[in-house]
Amino acid sequence: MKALFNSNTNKQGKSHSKNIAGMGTAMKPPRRQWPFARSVILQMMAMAGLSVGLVKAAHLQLWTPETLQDKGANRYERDLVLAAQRGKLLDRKGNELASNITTSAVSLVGSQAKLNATQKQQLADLLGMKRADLEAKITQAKQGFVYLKRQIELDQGRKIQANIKSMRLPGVYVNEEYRRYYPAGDSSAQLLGTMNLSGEAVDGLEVTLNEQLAGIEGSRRVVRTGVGNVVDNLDNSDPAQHGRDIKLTLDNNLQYLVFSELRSAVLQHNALGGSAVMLDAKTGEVLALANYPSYDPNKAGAKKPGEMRNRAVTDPFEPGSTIKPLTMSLALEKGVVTSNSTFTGEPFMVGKLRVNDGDHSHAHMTLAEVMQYSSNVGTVKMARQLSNADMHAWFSAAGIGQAIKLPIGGASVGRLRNPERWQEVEKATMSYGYGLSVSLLQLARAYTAFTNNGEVLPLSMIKTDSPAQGVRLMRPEVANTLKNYLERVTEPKGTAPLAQVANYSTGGKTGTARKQSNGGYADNKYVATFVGFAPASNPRVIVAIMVDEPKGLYYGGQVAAPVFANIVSSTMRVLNVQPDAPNRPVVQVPAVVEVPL
Amino acid sequence: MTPFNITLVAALLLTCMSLVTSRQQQRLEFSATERAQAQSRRLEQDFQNLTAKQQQLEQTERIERIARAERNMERIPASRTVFLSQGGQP
Repeated sequence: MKALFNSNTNKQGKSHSKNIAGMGTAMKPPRRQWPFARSVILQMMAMAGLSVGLVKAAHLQLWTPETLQDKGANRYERDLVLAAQRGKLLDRKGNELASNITTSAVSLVGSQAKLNATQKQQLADLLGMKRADLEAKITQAKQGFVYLKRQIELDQGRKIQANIKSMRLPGVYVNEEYRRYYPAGDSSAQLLGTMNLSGEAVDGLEVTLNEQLAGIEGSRRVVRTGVGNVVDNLDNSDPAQHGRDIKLTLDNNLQYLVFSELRSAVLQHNALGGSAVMLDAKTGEVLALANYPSYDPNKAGAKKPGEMRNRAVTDPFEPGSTIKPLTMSLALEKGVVTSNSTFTGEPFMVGKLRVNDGDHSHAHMTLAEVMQYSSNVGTVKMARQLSNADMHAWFSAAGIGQAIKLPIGGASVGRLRNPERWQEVEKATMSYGYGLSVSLLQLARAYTAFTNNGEVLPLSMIKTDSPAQGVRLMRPEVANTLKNYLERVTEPKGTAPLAQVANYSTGGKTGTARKQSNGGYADNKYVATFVGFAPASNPRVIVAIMVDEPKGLYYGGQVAAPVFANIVSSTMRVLNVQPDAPNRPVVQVPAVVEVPL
Repeated sequence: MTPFNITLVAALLLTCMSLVTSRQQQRLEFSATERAQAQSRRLEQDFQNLTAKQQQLEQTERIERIARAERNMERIPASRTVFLSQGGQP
């Protein structure tokens, strides 16, 4: 022990080791070997553990890196949806017909909503809900998510959001959502259509133009902090593509004008409904298209089916005498009659059909008077000299029985039967508008031939700069002759003196058709129509009116013609059209009534 | 530790601190941009909603209703419209 003590005080390492060696010689050999072995074993175990760790790390990093990286990234990276704005519908002057507004929605996430009784009452008061309704919603939300209130005005939504934040209501959120807004309200509801709460187009142009109007949502990947603040933008962002604004051919002012006059007429005559169409006589552009009854697309709630129908396009009807100008123009074109032809007005039989002009028959009529008086007798006499094939081809070329190429869903093609099956009596009735059917829009289009030197114009609903290319139906001379005859219809001796407009010449044709019922024709149900144009000397607009089942008065000249006059009177001023008959007075006389079937 | 090593450590520390600072600065700037964009979006929403309200107020139907009911006005028929030529003569 002394030697050992001495060696510890020795500064020389050498003697120290010597002393240790000396001490070692005093120890037993196994005690010297075991620590070395333990050390080796421990080192090997440590190496083995480290190797396992390294292999696992390499495996995780090299062979399955995505999983861990994703798990890491998911803790702070988020994909944010970039909302795409739906394109607007504009009128021809750029006024908005359908736009977007932002509203708020309050929602509840069931798994997070641990509300006590006080909080529930606070929330119900805040949202103006009954407590029982709120409880029902909370029960509903236990499975996930439920909207408590939607379509809240943005200002109000922001106040609610601030209150929810201050009240610390868990699981209650206020989000923004878009709503479609239609400034024109009910005047163009069926045409423009609507969107539902989920932002899906339901009907009208919203559906047919959806591809252009709807944008494409974008997204961006961001870094968020634990409290949800976005602190960085990652590279892979995909910007939203907003929908395209579409300029329509409609004129917002004229649309309201047409709608309001139509509404007045339907209400005045206690009718089932009605439609009105206004076309640009030179281009075929649809300037206005209205239906009544209608609905306000900005108000939620159930709509009646009759209110949602775009009658002017979807409802075919027998046009009655408004088809006579087509029959007469074919007769003139084929040389069956000339402007000097005369007709006797006595009734005659075609099969079992007695063709007559009622109490207003005339012994002798010129061709112009056949049109002016809307003579069935004169028209059928002309038609009997025409072949079935010619009449069918003529009506088809005018667009009857043909699809209208417009972006309007559910458009009626109308009905024009195979000419090989026409009997003599059917040809006779078709010549004055029975046994075939058209939509009001098709009928208005057919009249473009008379206002456009014999060319039928294609209709357009979307504004373009390219000029309309018409298809020739008749010679310009025939078209001008018919235009002059149609002008006489609105003169005092015609069937539509009530279609006169002060300071402007007008032309057009009345129609009064019985409605079909139970396989025949009803005695007291009529469709009153008038299709006309103004100014007659150089037409700017074609206006077609249809009133369905007017009560009391029912002739086209009494019910529909005044609507035409009111619309044209204001339209000429809106379009700033110079009067073509400045000193022409409006002569108010009873209309010559036409004879329905 | 040699002075060279100390200098290197100091430089490393400075670099780290400036990296953290610039990162923090970038995040602050980003947050400010985000707030400004949110404000811009909010103002745009307000503008859209106000435009919609304006359109609601200037609806022809509303104006006509008020004009008829409160001002006893009526629509001008063509018979009461005088068109002036360029020389001012009817």
